[in-house]
Amino acid sequence: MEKKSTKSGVLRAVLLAAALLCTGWTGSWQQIRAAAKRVNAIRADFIQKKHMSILVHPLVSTGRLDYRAPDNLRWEYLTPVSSLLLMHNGVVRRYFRIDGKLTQDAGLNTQAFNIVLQEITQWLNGQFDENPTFRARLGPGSQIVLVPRDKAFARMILRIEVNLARQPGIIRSVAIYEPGDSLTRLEFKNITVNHPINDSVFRKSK
Amino acid sequence: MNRKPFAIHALLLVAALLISACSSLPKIDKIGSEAVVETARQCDGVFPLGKWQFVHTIEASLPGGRKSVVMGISMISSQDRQARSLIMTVEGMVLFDAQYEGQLHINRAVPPFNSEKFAQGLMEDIQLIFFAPRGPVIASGRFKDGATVCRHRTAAGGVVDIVLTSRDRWELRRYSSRHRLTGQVLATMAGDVAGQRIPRRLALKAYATSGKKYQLNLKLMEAVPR
Repeated sequence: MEKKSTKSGVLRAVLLAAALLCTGWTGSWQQIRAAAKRVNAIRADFIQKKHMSILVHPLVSTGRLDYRAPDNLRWEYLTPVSSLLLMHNGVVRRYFRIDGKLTQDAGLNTQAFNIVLQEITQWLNGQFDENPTFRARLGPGSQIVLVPRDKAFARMILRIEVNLARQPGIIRSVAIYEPGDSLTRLEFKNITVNHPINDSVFRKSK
Repeated sequence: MNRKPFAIHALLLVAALLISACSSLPKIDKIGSEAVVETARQCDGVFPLGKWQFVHTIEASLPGGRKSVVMGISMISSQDRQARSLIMTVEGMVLFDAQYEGQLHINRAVPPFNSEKFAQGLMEDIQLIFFAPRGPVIASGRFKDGATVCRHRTAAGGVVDIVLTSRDRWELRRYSSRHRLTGQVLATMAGDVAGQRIPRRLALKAYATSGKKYQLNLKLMEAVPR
């Protein structure tokens, strides 16, 4: 009898621990901020799929990201186009590899993704609410939904869904909905946390 | 005393204007009537038949040596000469989306792609690259360098030359009604896709009266029959 109750007690404790691990950091903005504070650096690979009904199949890109708190980010596409977005102390620069050389972008592209990039840095810092660009709400299933506050920006991005991972402070995937039927989905994998990242990672190399 | 130099300057100016106004097209050496049929077949062969979706990376070279890279998606239907073109950043943000079905319709355009002139020019470029010229063949044969050529008159009174430089390369040259070269497409073939020869690389050069305006280098990522 005693053995049985000990067993069920252990089981309950394991289940509680599992439940805390799954939902323990995504219940409120305070919990999310607290979990993010414990993450100083992230390295991950990502796969990006661009869905549109007119496309025969989605466009797939792969890349990797390095993040070091509070505002250093290296967002690099490896395939099919080699490109690099660097945010060092908050300043964003974009490069493309043309004829084997990293060339700074002439600025043909809009600032929309740069805004998203700055947003990602904010998210990695656990700052979803009190955001001047997006109105945020906590949804079910560890999901955060962000809707542009500005009508002009809403013509570019309808909403963003951020899916949080079980591991505290980590984002599992991001879905960016654009007007029409355009959806960009980013999934992160091979995530490592809190390893030291050298300053040079956030600067342009050859 | 100053009249003579002034007159010479004026004459030179008029001569320059006349020359630029009436540039001449490259001379085509005629070929036999049997060869004309084969040449026409070869020239038609550079344009994809049916419905296709092409995905390209587009490297833009702009005045001042500036460069940028975007992705281009082109959906074409050769039968009804309909086309849809999307330009997006490598991150997947759609910057431009327009279609041509007898008339131009812009679905989405954000700066710096939000001018009617840009949309019109892009659709003209897409039509130049993917659709056989609408106008009649006015000459066919060979250039001095041996390249095979089919010369079409366009509806606007201009001229398009389809130049087959080798088995793997061809060129399109677009001339204004005054025979000034306004655009050029240089294509390198990729081999067969669904039984058709699809260019692996395309270089699109646009010329202004003052010289080259911009160049787009398109690299094929994907060609899918629809």
